[in-house]
Amino acid sequence: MLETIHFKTEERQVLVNVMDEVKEVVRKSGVKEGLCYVYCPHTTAGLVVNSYMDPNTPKDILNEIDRLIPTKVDFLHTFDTPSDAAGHVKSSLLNIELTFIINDGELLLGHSQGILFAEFDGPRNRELHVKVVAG
Amino acid sequence: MDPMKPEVMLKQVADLPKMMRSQTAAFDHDIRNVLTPLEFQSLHRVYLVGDGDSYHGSLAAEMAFESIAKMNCEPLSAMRFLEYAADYIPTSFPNDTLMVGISASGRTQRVVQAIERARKASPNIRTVAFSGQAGSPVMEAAERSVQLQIEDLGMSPGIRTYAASLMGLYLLAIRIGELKNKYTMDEANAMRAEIASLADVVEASTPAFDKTAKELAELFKDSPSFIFAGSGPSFGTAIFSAAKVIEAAGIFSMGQDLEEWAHVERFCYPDEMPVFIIAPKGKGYWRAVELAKSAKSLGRKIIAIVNEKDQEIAPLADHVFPVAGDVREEFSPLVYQVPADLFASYLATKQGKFLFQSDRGLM
Repeated sequence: MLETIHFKTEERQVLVNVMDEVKEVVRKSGVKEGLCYVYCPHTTAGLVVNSYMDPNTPKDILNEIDRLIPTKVDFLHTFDTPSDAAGHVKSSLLNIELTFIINDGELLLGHSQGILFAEFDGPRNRELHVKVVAG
Repeated sequence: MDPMKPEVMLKQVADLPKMMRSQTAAFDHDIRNVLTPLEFQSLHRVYLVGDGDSYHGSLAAEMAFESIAKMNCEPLSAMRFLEYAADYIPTSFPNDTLMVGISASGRTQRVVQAIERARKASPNIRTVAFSGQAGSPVMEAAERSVQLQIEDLGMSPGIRTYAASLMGLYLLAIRIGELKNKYTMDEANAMRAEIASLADVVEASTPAFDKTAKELAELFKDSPSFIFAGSGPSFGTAIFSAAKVIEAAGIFSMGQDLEEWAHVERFCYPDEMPVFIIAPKGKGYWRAVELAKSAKSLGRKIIAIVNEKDQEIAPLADHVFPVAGDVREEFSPLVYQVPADLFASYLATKQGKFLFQSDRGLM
């Protein structure tokens, strides 16, 4: 089963917890044992699994990414904006695809693990492809 | 050179949608790269400088810079810039001021001089030339340049070249606003797509425009003068429209601001003088409604250039050019210029005139 999740990010940079949306796709699939692939088809965004319990954790993650990749005006890629150029570099540090185990109809995740969509050049209309495979 | 026939203007209008669709992306590509992101972000004011159609386009694009790029914009004729502005530009900060010199032919002498004066005034003033001709004097005079190249359809009063200048200016305003984080990249791209999509509005509107233009050319073939009135971007459209009638038929025509008409030109004879009111929905619309009522009470013949769904000015008008689609006021000159292009051509044909009095060697 393949489904696309559509959503809109509201800030220039933000980590959005999409775990519930992915879990819903798994539930609808009816698959009890298998794999769930989550794919990000964007080049200024990414995927990461990390804690969502404290809202400050995603902020820390973004702050450190910003420290590593500051948005500057002299990127070579100037067709769009400096934020977009920085977003491409940040995206390259993260995953664009994550694989999860489905066990007894549920994603096998740690209790504080969330599936976080990393927006690096929003606000934008975004999507994620979710493929559920039995087996 | 053979005298120029008015029909060439109809050919220009017929090609306008194709040009708009095919050239928006190409112009945008060059405009994105004409300055570095840092240079774009540093801008606080822009001067748009040209003569004739290029000056009219500057007036028509002023609102786009102020509302979309969110920066001070001063449209000036080249002579005014050359002698009454260039030496007074504040130049304390680098890249603070952008001067865009516009000339479709690339050979407008005063625009060349204006660019040269800006560069002489201070190295802190960025100069960019917009022209259709690569390697032209205007492009050589400026530090940077954008060639707004369109297919050559032969000599004509500027219609497609005017539209190309407008498109270039709008795209520049969008780029400045985008890099200054006034809106998101998606919003900027949506505005770019909007410009190209106005080709659909021009195409859908032209049949009705054409019909009205022919009727008016017959009706007003003996009129000694015309007034075109509009505010904001439509003031640029008004002056440009008047220019087309003069260039085509040599009949005195004037473009005037809505408010100024109420103060001055309403005292003109003859009572039945045709008054073209250019009124897209937007900031000046309310005044256009008032002007229509006032002009009607004075016995003027009212020709409204309005949205096809217009409910306030159209009922007051004697004739209507209905625009078949919604157009953002900032971009309205691209569409609202077309009625005058057609009317001017048909009027000249009706009167047996040649464009620019080319049968009399005035060119």
